[in-house]
Amino acid sequence: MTAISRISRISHTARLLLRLRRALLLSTIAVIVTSFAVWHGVQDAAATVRDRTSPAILAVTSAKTALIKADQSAVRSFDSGEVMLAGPGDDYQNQTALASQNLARAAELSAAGDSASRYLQVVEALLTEYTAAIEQADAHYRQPGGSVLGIADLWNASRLLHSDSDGVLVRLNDLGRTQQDALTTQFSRNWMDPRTSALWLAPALLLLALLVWTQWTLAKRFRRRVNPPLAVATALLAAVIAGMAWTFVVHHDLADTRATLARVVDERNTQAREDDVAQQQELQAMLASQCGQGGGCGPTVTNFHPAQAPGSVPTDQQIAADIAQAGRSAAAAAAAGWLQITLPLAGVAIGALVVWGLRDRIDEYRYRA
Amino acid sequence: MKNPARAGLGAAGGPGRILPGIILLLAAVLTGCASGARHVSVIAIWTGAEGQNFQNILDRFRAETGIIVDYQGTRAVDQVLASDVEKGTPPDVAILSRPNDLAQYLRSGALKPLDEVTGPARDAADRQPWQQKDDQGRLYTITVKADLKTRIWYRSPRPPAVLPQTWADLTALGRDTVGGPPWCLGMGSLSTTGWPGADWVEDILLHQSGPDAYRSWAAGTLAWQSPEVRQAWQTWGSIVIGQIDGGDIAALLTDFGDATAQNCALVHQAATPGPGFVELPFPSFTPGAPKVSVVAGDSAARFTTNPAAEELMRYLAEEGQQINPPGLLTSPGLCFSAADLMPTPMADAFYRSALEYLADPGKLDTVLARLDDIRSSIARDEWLTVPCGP
Repeated sequence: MTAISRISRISHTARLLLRLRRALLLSTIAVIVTSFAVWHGVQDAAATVRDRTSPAILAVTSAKTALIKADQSAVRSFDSGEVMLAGPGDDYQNQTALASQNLARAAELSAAGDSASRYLQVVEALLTEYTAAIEQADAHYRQPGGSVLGIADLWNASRLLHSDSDGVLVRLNDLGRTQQDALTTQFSRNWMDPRTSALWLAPALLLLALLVWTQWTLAKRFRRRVNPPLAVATALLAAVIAGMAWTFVVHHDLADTRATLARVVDERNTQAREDDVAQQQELQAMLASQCGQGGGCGPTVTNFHPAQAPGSVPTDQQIAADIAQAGRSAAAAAAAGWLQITLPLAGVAIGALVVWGLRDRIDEYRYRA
Repeated sequence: MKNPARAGLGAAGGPGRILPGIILLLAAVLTGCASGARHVSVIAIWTGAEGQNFQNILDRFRAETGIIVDYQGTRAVDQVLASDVEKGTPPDVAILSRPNDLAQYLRSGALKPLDEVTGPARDAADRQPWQQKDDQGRLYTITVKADLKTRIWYRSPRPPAVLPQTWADLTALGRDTVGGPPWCLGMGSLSTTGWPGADWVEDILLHQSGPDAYRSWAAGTLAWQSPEVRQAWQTWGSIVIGQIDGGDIAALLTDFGDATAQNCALVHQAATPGPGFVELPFPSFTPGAPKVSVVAGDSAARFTTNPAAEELMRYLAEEGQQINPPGLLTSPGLCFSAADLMPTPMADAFYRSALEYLADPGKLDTVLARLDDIRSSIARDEWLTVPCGP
């Protein structure tokens, strides 16, 4: 072998090692950036579902349940005559307060955007109209000879709540749908799309391939069985890939949260419908007794037919269990936040190991060249 | 000499392909931003069929201008608007039924002048005395939807051979037709329950005592306990109480939209009750008096300087775009609904009082005294003095 060909072979090796190191470091940076971004995006979405969207959905269903109970309590209070002593009653006051608190909580937590805010604003305004109508019914009913007007006001208040076109309950349903849509949107956002999440896998697999090929090249060229720093880097990368695979578990947990929340909303709606049907039947009976002597109640009351009661109604325990399940799933999805920092640190360590693992050979061949 | 490296980059998809891609992307972003900015937010009370009618107009506006209108219809329009204005985030355009509310917004400086409304549309607005203007004569409101309230409908395929000239004749005609109490009346209307009764009192007062007394009453200077106003209530009572199909209690529990669903023959309302009814002339109280009518309308005002909102206001003001019966707003002797000119607490009490009177006509003295108490408690500058027009 001539001197010239030896120099050429040595410089080629140094160049190869330098290129390998550059490729390994660039791939490592790509792994750090994508893993951090993906994990951050997924965790951020999971935390939003756990801390905002999920409680806001539950707050709106609670507000609806409370309002139906409030209306039921008011009707019972008028029907029993309790209204003459205590107005619409403590239970009515408690339930309307509960509804207001839940709406305030939904407003505070809402991550469903402008349309949800508009619905909330409308619901709050309509709720004010409803409570004012109940107060008016109370005031009229207590006046001597005011029972007819009091009952008419109570009927009007109930219609403010139940109106198909712009009633409080209809608007609450609109709000609930908007929140469910927001939850769906959160699932379809870039970072939550499983296909997008898998993007981190491409640089990770490239880095893995480079590490293995570098190890093989070093073994072949320099007759070393294994390069320990690169072996550790490869093991760390395997750990990073395993950690990132946890995002698929997060997706599963969030899907479980969404399904459970949808079930809770259905269950609460069914329960609320049962209360609502009972309330409307009581109101209808009271109206019939009030205007029975006067030639009827008119076409609006006559054509008013309470909805059909739901066949099977979930128990409070069932609903509580489902709410707890939704909470557990959401909490589990958002629980692995510590990985968000650990993954980039592992990436930095891989980079350091790559530099360390190739340093001696590069120095050796650069020196020889 | 050709640079092989450059040639190679270009061929491999370097700057030769990336740059046009970036330019295209920027162009897409910029044009996207530009078209996305043309939005107008509108709030009004119309929902259901009325809301859909208005949405159809907005759709045509979008087709012509490309401007997207974000419409929100709710009966809680007053509360939502008040809250938005207070927060400093009003909608671009609000459509309200009460000139008094619009006047309060004008006074607070929330409204923007409609300098974009010119030509025939401006001339028409100038002939409507209920439109809001400032001291310099700048216009702030336009009426988008108007209804004539002075209307009596009779359930029959054709008018009677002899038209009734008096209220007694009218009621007798109705009784003969249905063989019982002839009047259809439903007072229910959710948060504004009672207004159908208030409409009756307004109409009777205008026709019994004339436009001057009507204007004074609407402006808060004629007392509720005055002979003119008391007479109007009593006249209403004499026409309908005991003459309502289904009974007086049923009227309290019936929605105004359901009033004609009974076997009744006569109804006092602005909207056509449907097929099977013909319109009869409003019987006179004072023969030979000039023709006068009560009109109500929903008026639009602009709350922001959004140029797209200016285009919408111009569009709504254009002749042919308004949801109004042809020629209505230029008819002579139109007086705007007094309840809508009154301050909100007075109007609300008026509606409630109509319910109370219908439930117990013997309480009229108490009802009128309470209304006067409320009238006295409202500051003078909250009342509007609007003459009949045009």
